[in-house]
Amino acid sequence: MADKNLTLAISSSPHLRSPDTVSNAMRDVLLALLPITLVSIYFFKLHAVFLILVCLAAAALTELLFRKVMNKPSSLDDGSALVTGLLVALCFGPSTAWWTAALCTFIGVGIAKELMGGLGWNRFNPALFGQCIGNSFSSDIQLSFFNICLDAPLSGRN
Amino acid sequence: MTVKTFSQGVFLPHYKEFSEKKSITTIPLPKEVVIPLHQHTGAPCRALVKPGDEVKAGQRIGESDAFVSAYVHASVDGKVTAVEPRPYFTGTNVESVVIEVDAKQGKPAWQERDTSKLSIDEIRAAIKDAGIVGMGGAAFPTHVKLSPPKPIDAFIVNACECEPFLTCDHRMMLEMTDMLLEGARLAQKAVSAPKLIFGVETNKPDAIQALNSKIAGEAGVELVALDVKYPQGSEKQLIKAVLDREVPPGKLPFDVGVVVQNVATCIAVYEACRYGKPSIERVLTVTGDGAAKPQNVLVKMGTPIGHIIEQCGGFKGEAGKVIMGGPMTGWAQSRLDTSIVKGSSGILLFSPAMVAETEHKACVRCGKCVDHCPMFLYPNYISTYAETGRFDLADEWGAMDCFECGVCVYVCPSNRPIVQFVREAKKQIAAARAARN
Repeated sequence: MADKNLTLAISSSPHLRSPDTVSNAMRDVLLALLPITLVSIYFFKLHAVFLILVCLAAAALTELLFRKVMNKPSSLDDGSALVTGLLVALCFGPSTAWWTAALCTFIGVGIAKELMGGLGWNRFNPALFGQCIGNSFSSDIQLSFFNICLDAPLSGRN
Repeated sequence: MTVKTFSQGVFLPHYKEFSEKKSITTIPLPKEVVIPLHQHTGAPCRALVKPGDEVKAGQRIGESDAFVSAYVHASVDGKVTAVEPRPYFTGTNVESVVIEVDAKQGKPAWQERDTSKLSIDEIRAAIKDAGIVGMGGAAFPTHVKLSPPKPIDAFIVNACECEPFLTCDHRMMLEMTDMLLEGARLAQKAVSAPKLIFGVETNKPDAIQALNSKIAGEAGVELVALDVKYPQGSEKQLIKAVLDREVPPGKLPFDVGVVVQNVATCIAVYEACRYGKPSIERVLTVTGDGAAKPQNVLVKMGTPIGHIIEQCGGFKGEAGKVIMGGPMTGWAQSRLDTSIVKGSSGILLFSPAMVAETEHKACVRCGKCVDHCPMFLYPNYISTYAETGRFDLADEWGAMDCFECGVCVYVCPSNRPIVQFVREAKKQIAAARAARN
């Protein structure tokens, strides 16, 4: 019976997939970061909101730029850029200059992630890589747990 | 009821509801059957017939002198029209005997005998004559398996049917219980095992009850209930769960005193011993979310899958994929003129909605595959090394130990075709090993 014109998909076994995807995993990470994000916004108000938005945008734009220049398809839909952006923002003090945060995000996503081969090929965590570079060169963002907690946290100054 | 299990593996959706309550049915014969001369593990058969020959159902039409091989038989009365390569369900072409099916089929003349009087040699000879091979899918010649070189203390009946969708073994357990029991006892006798154990997954409570009621209180026979986890039906995982014994890598179950056989194989053993009936038909499940009339159907070996699909109502809507076997280890079909062989347990009709995405990302080193691999391998490393051509490293990380169950691919969030990478790696590694020798 080979006279029916059927189009059948072929692939190697297995033919079933779990619903888990990288995008779902990244969404779960963002959800896990939500409480601390809300706490930061509560304490540091607009400074926090601004910094978070700057880093999210920087991360997304960096990934877009690098992938375009390297002739690769966009990978924003996996959500990993947003996770990196949020992580960078959350590890800086609220008085950090926006361009410092953006630059560190750019270094993290661009060098540690995209130039290494993209998601999965990074040797270092992109967010922490960016933060380390930034820490080495700028006293502006040096994060001190005690400064933040004990030293007038509501004013936002380290 | 204690429920046993093995480590790792994955819980899959069952998808059994389509066909688990459907009694075994039969369908009209096709116009032509195509019997591959090599449908088992071991040496291929040479044809004993030629075009023009009349054959009867049960007649031996292929044999090999190799120890590890199995005879093939005509499954119908008919006339041989060709002995030539024909499409095989794995995508290759295999030399096959093509038989035009007679409009009128005669009555088979099986000779009944008392199975309780058969010696071990007679049992093995009956099985060899019948061309029986493992019907769970591996298709290993049964008379060889039942001639283990080491002493056996336990014979396990593999009644797990751990692949989603498939329910043929389940129905056989319910509708052919006595045949199964007798076949299992005959196989147990052939390997002189003092213990007979049925390993059944808990999603078949009616089958567990049916078997338990038959073996209740009998010494040396027990039923072990198993958690519905894939791949419980894989031999080594089954032995681990039931007896807590590990078959070392590169070794076989008889090295730990165990022989395992599938439900359908045991029933075939019974039929061979009792009637001298060869392996000429089997029950398989036609199912899937795209199947118009999912059912468990008894078909003759060599029936083209297109005929079976048509007789079972075909596709409900648009066709997505046709799979021969189960959804985890089965083979996607590109054509419907491939035929049923002894190890064919199912035909799955998938709608386009169930066809998995093929785009995949890089390995994100999440480790889920490592967590779930039943062989405790590192599919993440194996797949990235294979992907980048480093088959030597893939070998070091155990690519050859993979039995291609597909658990890693199922759980991978990057949708990586790890089993496909492993298959390629195995090919390259084997070639490299051969080149070194």
